[in-house]
Amino acid sequence: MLRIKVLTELLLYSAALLGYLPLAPWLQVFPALAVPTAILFAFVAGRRGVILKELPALLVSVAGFAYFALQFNRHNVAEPVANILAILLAIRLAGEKSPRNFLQSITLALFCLAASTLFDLSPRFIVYLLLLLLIFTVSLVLLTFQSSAPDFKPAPKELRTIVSVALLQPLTALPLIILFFFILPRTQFPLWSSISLAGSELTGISDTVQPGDKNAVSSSRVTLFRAEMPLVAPDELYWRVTVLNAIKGSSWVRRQPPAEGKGTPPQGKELQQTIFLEPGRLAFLPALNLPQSIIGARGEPTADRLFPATMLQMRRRSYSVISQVGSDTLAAGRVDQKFYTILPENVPPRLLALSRAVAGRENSGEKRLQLLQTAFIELRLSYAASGLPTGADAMEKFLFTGKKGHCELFATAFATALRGAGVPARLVGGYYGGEYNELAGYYAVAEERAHLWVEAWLEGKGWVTIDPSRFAVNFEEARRVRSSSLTLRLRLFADTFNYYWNRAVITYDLESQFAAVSRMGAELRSFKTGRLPLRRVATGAGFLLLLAAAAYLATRKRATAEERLLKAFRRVLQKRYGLAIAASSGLHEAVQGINNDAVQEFVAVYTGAIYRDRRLTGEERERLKRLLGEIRGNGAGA
Amino acid sequence: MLGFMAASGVFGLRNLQRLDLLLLLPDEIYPGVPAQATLQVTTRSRSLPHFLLKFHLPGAVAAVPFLRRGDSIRLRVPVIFSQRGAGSIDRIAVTSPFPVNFFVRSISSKVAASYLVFPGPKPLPAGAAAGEENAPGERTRQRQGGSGELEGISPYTGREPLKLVHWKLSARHDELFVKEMQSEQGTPLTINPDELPGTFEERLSRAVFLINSLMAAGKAVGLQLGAESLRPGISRSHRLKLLGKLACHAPD
Repeated sequence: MLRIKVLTELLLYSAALLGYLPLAPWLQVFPALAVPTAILFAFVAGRRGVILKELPALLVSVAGFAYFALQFNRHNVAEPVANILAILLAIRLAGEKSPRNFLQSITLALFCLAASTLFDLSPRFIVYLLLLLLIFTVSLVLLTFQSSAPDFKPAPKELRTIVSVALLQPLTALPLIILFFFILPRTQFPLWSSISLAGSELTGISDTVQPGDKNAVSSSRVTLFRAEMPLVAPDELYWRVTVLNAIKGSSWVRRQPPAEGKGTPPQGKELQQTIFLEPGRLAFLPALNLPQSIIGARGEPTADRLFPATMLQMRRRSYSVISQVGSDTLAAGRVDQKFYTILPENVPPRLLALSRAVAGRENSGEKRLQLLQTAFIELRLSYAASGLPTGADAMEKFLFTGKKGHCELFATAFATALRGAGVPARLVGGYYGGEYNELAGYYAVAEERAHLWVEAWLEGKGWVTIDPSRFAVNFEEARRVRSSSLTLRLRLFADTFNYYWNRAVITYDLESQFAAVSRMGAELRSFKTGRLPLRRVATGAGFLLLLAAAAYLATRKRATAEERLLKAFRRVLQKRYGLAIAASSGLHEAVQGINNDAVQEFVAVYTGAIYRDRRLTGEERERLKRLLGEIRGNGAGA
Repeated sequence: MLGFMAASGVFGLRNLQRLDLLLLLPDEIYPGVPAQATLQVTTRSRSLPHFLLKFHLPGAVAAVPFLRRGDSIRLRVPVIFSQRGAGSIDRIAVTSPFPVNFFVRSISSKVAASYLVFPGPKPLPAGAAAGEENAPGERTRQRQGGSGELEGISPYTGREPLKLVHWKLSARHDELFVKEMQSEQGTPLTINPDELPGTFEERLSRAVFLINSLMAAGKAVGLQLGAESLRPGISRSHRLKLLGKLACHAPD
């Protein structure tokens, strides 16, 4: 009993941890501490019989429930629920350990794990879930023993058998689970997080840029999307997400772009990417610059070549984009000059003076652009991700005193300079670069790669891409993501799993299920018309036969050497003496009447081992085989 | 979840299958009194053991928490029958909560065991002619006693004096046996239930009481049941024959 009880307790604590760990990052302090504390309490105090009594447990549950229920509203569903679950789990763990409470605790741990998917549906979930289910099934079996046969004290060997049979169940269930996985519908996205995306989870590009509003840039390595495509040159990896074309005070914002005339199509090569996008609140779908068309997403592209995400993007999704790479110009005829040359407030007078001077010297937009580029390079600015200038005069500090800034300052300063010189300009927000996974052939793009660059409209050309951050003396070096090659490789390896998980599981939806079914139907129909895919059928049947043979051999092998010897012995006795030994009768009694030393010796050696619950040694096996031969020989001689 | 439920269902069903049951009921059973039955359980399963089995017998449940594959065990189960008469147990319900305690799965397994429940012994009311001398009936010779010649061996029923236990024989089996000795004195008696006080059932019960107590005291006892007459005897088998007649006796 003690053993079963101790084992169930250990399993319970592991289950609680498995349920708690994935949820912990989203819990508030008290519930986050409550679960590990309860496990520790149950482990230490529970051994001495100290438990959390019913009344205090009830009071804490009610208080916790009330506190978090008050935070519950339409926009905040998941978090209170998760916290309440964690508190209930902690209370159950610290309380009395009856089989009923055990079951409730493990169920709560399962709920906690399930609740974590309201925030994040990552492939780690499946590992936790599988482990938890294994623990759950083993615990269920042990609890069944605990409540049905409380006096049963299994020997260590029996306990091992019980645990292995319990483990056999989920393994047997696995083929069924896989079958159900393919035939039953499922939920594919963290349901509630779409309603209540916490601020920290907002991914992607903001729709307002205000130079000098932060002193450091994000360094989050959370992958936002993966793009399946061939390897391309690093300076072609600009992922277009949004365009900020209008001014509001001193900020850059997005307005509906004015209509544009059609220009000559751009030169360059076409490249198709399949993008797997993580859930987030991007208003537009990321696509490699310069995107031409999109497959697998609804909605018309905007005039400035953005693809609206038609609804809040609550689930991982995939789509394909055809982009023009090797070209920096987005074709456009005439544009609304006035709209694209409005200046923001608080432009540094020195910057304005520089623009005016350039405008005075040259008439063509292209020349003005070149002059401004030269001027910015001569400023010898450097790129930095922290210690950035802030405040209303941030741009002044950036350009003329501190000379340190990040992409936002470079881009807004340059776009302002262009507009000041009368060249229509806009900001393009997105991502730059990405880690290429050669194993699976895709780019993983993380939050930290967020980037801002500029498009300037030039007469006769269209919108020309300029990345002002490249004017920095240290651009390439500063933008490099610092990782040792080993950690980078490990990360890529782990990410490969994420990628295949997304491909195989997340994006496998009802549509894919129908597709699979209709494919099968089509195959069947073609089968009927007489085009028998003989080779495939033969291969399949051969494979199944092999599997069956392997399974047969695997089970056959379970007849041990002892069993085989006994079987042979029985056969010999039957043949020689016409004696059938019943499975249930003892060997000694069965051979009592046989006057044959070899028979008696066989029984003595065999039972000497088996009745002591040990296996035969090699020597004994040889001896028994020899004896069998002797008995057979006797038979022949008689 | 569906996969798990299906798998646990299969495991639960397999746990109850491939069991051979053999039920041996004692030859002396009284209503309401526990009688030691022997249930032999043999598994034909070569792959997996059986867990948490319960065998439901009249008035008793035998539990086997763990039965190794290919194993055979004997269980002593105190069964209780409520009514006198002959009968048989054709099937036994085998249940198990394994693998999970949400459902108890049950199958009914074949056994063929017939039994005979004797009327429960009931002492004669105070004041009525109690005791061997005044017991109603005809007196003849022969009786069972504690001395004299050994007449037979029979299982111990709890009524025999301990000095009659055949220790040597009992040591070789897992139950006690007693020696049946011939008595050297006493008067044979024939009991007629119709002459005993009480209702029909009470008369049968009293007859059983008289037969048991008189024969335990070494007297030879016979029985008069309506027109049927059984000669007095002293052996255990004779006593069981008399009790059997009473068990199956129906009112005219």
